[in-house]
Amino acid sequence: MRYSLMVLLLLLLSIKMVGQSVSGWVRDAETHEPLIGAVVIWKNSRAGTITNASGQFSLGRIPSTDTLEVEYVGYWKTSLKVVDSKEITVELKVNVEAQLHIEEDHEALHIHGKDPQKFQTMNEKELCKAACCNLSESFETNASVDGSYTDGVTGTRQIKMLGLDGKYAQIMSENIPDFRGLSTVYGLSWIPGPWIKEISISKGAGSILPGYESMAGQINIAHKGQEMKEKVFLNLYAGNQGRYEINTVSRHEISHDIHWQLYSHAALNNGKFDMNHDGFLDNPVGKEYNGRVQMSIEKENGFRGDYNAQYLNYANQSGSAQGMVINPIRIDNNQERWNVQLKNGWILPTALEQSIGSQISVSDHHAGVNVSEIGRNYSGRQTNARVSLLHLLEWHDEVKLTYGIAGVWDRYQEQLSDFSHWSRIERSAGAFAEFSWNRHDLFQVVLGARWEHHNLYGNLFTPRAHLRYSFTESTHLKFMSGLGRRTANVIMDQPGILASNRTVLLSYNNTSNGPLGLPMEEAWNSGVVFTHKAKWFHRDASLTLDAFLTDFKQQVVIDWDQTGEVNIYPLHGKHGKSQSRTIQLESNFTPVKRLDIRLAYRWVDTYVDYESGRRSLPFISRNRALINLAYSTKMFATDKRVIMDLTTKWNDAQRLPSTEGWDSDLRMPESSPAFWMVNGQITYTKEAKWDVYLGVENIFNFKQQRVVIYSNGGTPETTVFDGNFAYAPAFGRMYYLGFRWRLGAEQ
Amino acid sequence: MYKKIFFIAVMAALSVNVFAQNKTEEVTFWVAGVCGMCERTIENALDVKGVIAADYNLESHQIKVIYKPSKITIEKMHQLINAVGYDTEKSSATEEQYSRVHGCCKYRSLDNH
Repeated sequence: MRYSLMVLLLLLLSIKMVGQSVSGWVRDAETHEPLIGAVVIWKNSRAGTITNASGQFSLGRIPSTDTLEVEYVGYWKTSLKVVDSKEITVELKVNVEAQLHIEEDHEALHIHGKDPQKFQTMNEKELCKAACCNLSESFETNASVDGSYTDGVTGTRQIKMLGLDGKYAQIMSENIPDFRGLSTVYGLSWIPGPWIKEISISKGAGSILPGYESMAGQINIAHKGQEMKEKVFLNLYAGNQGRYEINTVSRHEISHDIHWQLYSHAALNNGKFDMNHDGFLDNPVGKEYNGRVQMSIEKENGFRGDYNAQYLNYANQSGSAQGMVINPIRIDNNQERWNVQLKNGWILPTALEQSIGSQISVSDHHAGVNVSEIGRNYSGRQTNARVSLLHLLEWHDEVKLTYGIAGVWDRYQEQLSDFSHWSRIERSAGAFAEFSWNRHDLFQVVLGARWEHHNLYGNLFTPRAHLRYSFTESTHLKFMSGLGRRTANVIMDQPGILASNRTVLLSYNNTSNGPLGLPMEEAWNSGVVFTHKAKWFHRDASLTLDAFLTDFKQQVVIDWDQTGEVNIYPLHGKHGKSQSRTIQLESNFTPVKRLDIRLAYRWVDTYVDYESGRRSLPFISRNRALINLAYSTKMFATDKRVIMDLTTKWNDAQRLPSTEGWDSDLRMPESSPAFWMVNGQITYTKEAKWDVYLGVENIFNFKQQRVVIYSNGGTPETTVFDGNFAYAPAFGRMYYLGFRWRLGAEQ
Repeated sequence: MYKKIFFIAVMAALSVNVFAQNKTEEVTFWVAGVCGMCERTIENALDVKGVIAADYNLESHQIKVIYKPSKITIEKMHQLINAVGYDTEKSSATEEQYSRVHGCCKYRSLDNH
């Protein structure tokens, strides 16, 4: 026994020492052509090689195994025992399915030509083109989503899509609806940019699976996860507007199938500036903390679980700049929110590709806004729970069916200025289905619908349809149409109401069971998108032309045009109309090596039948243009380079709310001037290790002179306070410096 | 001011276009490479005068190069790729050149993975 063990040991040693090797060829099983670059590796080891230009390989033996694995993309993986033969020939069979999936994509902005629902995906590289402290700022280089201010006092940023406020877009994180209801407007500014892996944008109503709440578009945020190259990511940021930030993301592995990530964000705003001299702080001051933990489990039996929890605390003050006025106005804005998402999925071990999944999410949000001097206080709380169960079936990549059931529960408790409070519970439950038929090269149709019973609005049926027709592999035409609906939250949908002493006047029709007697907002959205990918200047280029129409069947109209009032009422009668139409042209190309150019132009036309007549929506530029230039120098010293970005946006005049009833010295013009906004950033990067970036926003220092109107007349009747005229930055030119550090990057 | 900038940009774009028309050729050849980092290193090696675009496909191990024959020869391209440590179908990197290849990219033996 002992003897044989020793022989074995000696044998193993000798193999190692003599360096016995195996060599041979890897070929295609049918054509017998050599496969170049096939991976040949000893099983469960890291000892391997790849085949050379003639399909040959030579590999030293290792003691732990005699099983050789041979892999080649687009072919079935093979393993074989190599006992004594020194020369072997391995033949691999073509795996048709795998070959179809070969797609490489390193673009910062991916344009989805083929996907009937998705429009664009921005990845980390695209987000790094601008400071992107938070997501509402990260659309600086995007032509389809605009960043704007809700009001000039609280400094809240919101997005706009298709000429409509961000409340009409559905925000999702990890494909689950997030930031609904009271946090709709704030939502995106609470997601720190450095946490993000990518953002997918769908224009129009989009997929029905996440719910009925999208009208203008869907934005899905994917956080960095286990695929992150580095172990720890650190970002530091400082801007001369007085904002300092620290962001971290770290990746941990418990075992090969359990991973978790930890995210943190802390921001301090302490810049008390009034650069436009209107007596009010340009940006709020205060603190923000935000933390998130995410865990994923992936079992070999096809189970996958993704769980995450997030907490945020946002406390800031804004209002009068010190010493500027006798009766200073101070706005305290405190928000606290936590949420949990649990996702489980199983790939079923059947011949037919199918999987089942469950999604559960719970959140609780407290909002408190106090405005001194004019005595306007708001507090609101939303508690939400959502459950959805899905079953996905797929036949040969061509036909896909997803169906399931879902239930949503929301409790809202709101109070405005001590004397009026209202609360509601919304419950809905129902079923949904989405069917997709994909004749891969020619066309694809996606039909989706959901039916729900809602405790306030009764039965709701929401259909969506998408169609894609491909002229060639690179030229596609898409049509889409769908219904979307949501409950209006009259205060938190436009927090600017709190940044003014306008009288809030609400009229309603008694037929609705909705909160405050207001109906559910409902709109049809239809669009057409043409995409063409080509080689211009021998490099990848794209051209996208799209047109969308959003037609409100019912809307809660927010009318700012009566001086001293904000009127809230349902869209008038049967003939009242509210529409938004947009046409956008976008092109991305690389005329010179390493110089990426994006040109975009958008035309927006909106109108609403207000009580006093048909007018366009305020704060919408009819014409808008964007030019983004991104230049990267040649790599020097193998892994260093300098990246320069320049983004120019041109905004046409915007209609401003009417100020006719005010004294002439307080009045605002009927419309804003057209203006340019130019941002630039230089990044020095040592690839895979660290970046330093220096940027300037608003290079030409364009400032809106009067953002807030405040005249204290001593009594509430004679006092005018209004921050709802913000169309441009108040701060002017802004500089920032940032640092990104990637620690323990695995290569 | 802006009109001027725009005009210059358009002119620049046009002139490049005209420039690019001036006789280019395309060549495809095999290069060893195992990961995304290899891909970048190989493509960056051909970021030289005369090469208009270079696209390495990791799956097929083929690099497609659009170049101006008046400015660069195919032999030179092979040399440039060898110089950063990668073998091509025509020539191999020397041991010394290969030693500069990053640990994860040691395509001759994947031991260091």
